[in-house]
Amino acid sequence: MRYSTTISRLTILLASVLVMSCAAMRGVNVGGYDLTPLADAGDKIAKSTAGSTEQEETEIGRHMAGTLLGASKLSRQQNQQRYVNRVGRLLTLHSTRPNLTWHFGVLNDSDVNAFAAPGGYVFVTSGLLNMLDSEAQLAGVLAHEIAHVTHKDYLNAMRSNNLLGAALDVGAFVGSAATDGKMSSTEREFAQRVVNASKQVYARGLDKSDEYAADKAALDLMTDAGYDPYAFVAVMQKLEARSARDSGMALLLQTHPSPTDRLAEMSTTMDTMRVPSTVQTLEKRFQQSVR
Amino acid sequence: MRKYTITNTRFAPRLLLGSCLLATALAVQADTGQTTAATELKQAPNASSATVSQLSAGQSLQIGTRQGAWYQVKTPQGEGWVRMLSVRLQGGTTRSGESTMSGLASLAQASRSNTTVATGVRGLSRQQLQNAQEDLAEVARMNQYQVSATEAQQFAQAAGLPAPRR
Repeated sequence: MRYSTTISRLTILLASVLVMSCAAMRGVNVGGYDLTPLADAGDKIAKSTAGSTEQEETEIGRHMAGTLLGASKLSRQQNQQRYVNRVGRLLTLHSTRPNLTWHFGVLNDSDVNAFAAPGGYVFVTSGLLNMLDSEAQLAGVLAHEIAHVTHKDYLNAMRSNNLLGAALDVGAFVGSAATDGKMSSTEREFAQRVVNASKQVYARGLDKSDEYAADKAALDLMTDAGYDPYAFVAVMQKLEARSARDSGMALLLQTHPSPTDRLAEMSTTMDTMRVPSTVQTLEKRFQQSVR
Repeated sequence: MRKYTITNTRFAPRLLLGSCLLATALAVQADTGQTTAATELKQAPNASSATVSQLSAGQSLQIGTRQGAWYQVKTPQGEGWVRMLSVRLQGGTTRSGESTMSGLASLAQASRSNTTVATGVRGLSRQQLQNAQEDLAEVARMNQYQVSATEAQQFAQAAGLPAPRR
């Protein structure tokens, strides 16, 4: 009798865990039972619907970045890597997630493209970098990718397509790394799922609405950081001019709305944009740092 | 009446005087483009300035520098400024009017870019992604380039970019 009362109490409490803060459960003791493990379980279920923890996000991002870097390596031009990290990191200071561990990378690839991965990974190909004329143009490209991270677009794409399997498992895999530096079997399974999901998401691309939203956010972020937002419009026009004849833009065009459509979408934002006269393009610093 | 003197495909330096955005520009090589809709050719890069001429859609133009949302252009009807979104750059264009480099420097840049293109790995097709083997060592290599918030602030400050509002 005492046990069934406890169990029914536990059931009620477990149910409440799913709808309220789990922190309150920690250390709670009912009939001699410590409810902390239930609180942890509730945490995981809550996160599977509300989003991942930052640790999970970073771990998913690391494997997603690893997948991309399996297809294309980092450029060995250290000056470019450093410069792109500086420009990117200064943009993130104006973003909604300034304290994330941000990583920026130049891919040694003549294709024209840029990528992001959850947890703060942003990539631009040397093919795209070579097309640009100014720091503001680079900032536009990076700001678009930063927006995909802060909007959690890749995480949502994986989740909505159920590419990672049961979300509860994700929580279980993270933090299960073996101490000897090798992957535990659960971590290996987690990594494999993320790699497979990454291949699908990168090949398929995000929703068009995510791309338009990232373009809009990029214009705002550039302006906040002191860059001329029209420089990103100029980049889009370069892509538009190039797209018809360039095989190196195939993947970008397969996974994004056309530059013409993106320009049309941006024009509505531009009408209401407030751009201070102090914004800069910084051609000189770009040329000195990249060439 | 021509307000500015234009030398061949380059815009004369004095055209750029008074523009702080372009203070360092010496000569800018022109790109070509077309108007995508009927648009006004303006005397200055703002909507309230005098109209030089009315341009029809499909009008070819040479594009010089950009200032804000405007391109400086040269057309058979004269020179002036048009809204950048009324212009489509011609295919084959590699640069818009944002560069400050002279023609010679741009040639040097082009040859260097070509070298990169020649040696760059063309790897980011769907097929290459499908065949990719995860490379976590390469991910770890990115750590060495990581920039702290403090360093990023200094980098912004060095160019006179504003500090974050918070």
